[in-house]
Amino acid sequence: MRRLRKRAVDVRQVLKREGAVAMGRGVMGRKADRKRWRVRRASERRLQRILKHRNRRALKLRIRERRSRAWHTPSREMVIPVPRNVTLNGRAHQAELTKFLHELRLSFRKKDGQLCIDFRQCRKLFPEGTLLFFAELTRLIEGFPAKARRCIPAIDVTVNGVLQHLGLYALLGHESARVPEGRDVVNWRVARAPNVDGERAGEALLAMEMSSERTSDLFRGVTEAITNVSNHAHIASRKDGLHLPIKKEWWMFCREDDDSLYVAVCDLGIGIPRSLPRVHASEVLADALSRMFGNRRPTDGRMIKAALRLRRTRTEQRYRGKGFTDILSVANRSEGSALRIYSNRGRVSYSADTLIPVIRDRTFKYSILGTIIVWVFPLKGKGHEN
Amino acid sequence: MKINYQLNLATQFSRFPAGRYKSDGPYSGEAFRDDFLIPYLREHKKVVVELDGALGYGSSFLEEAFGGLVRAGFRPAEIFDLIELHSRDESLINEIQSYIQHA
Repeated sequence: MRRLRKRAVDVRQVLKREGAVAMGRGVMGRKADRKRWRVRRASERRLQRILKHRNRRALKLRIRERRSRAWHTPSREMVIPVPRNVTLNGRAHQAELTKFLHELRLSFRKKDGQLCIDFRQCRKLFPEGTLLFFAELTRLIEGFPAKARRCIPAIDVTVNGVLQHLGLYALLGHESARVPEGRDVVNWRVARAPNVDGERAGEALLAMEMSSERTSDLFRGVTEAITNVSNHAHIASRKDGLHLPIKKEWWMFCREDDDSLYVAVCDLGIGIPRSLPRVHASEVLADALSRMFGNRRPTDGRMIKAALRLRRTRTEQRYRGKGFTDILSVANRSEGSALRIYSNRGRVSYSADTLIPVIRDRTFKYSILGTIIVWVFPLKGKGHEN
Repeated sequence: MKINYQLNLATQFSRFPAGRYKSDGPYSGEAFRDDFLIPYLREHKKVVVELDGALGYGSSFLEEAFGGLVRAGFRPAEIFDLIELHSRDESLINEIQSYIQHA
């Protein structure tokens, strides 16, 4: 036994010496190589962890995208899943919702085949996103009344209740025996009209039980918004590929939750970025844009921001152009309130919270093909939702 | 003999006035001016317009209803003599007067 152990040590020493000789660098060179090998191995392991995480994330995004795509059943029914969050806040959510609406429009264009809207994945409904979906769906159903359609109801109880309360299920031919209840459900109110009908808007605002000053301010802002729809939103084709007759229709949601009150007005017209060059003289618009943004490209968000500040200055109509002032003044008169305007690819957020009001603009990849104006008021002294 | 006329906008026209032109909607500023204000201004010595009672007034409605009188041929000084505005909200009266002056 003593002999064997001695041999083992000897063999290791021999191998060490032989290895050093083979490398031609001696014993110190092998240490450096081992260190270099250890560093390389560690960085490879780190790289593998990063790639694994990236691959996992890419895989999740791919699954999510596949689930959000429309698909055909064997009987040629087109099933379109509704996004998980029906909102325009955030780049990813805005893209998801606009893609869903695009597929909806495409499916209504096809004369044959049934359409099925799948609400099972839908978990949360936000006012502006739901308003846009409601407006598009009602417009499509009225434009293509013969299109066969149905829906798969939502799993979430609140979403189910809201969809039933708003009448979306009824539009899609789904009957539910359950009566919508709960504050989160019945606090949604909707109004719509094909012209500047102040009574419809006023009744919806009065149902919200706000103070008389706020109701009066909101009525002023809302009527100016719907007057703009009548005068500017449909002066050209919407370019949605549907060729439906022009209707100067508007939709309005009012919703109250624990923290905030939302009032939103939507139209499916050409949008502010496309109507602005048609409303203002080109030299006036170019001058305003260059003063506000220099040489930067006039994106949709910047065009909306310019619209908030421009007044009509063509000689024969200098008495016009006060509509956006009214829309902004609603947010100015209420502490902690905010205004958001979405139009085509752009979004502008106006906050009167700070000493100097802040207007932030943003531009997305896809267009909502219309305009949504949202006023948000905090309730009970709490901050408003973003 | 011409006398004063009391015109209550909310009860005689609409509690929810909105829009600028008649093509916008049924209770627009143009409709109020052409169907109520101008006929009563021609028949009476003075028209007292009661503004309280309506839910609110958009700038488009007010500008077309009152500022539009200047475009219809009335002089601003004449309008101030013929029309008397009543409201608890002084800023509303000031706003209408500015529309008449700058029309």
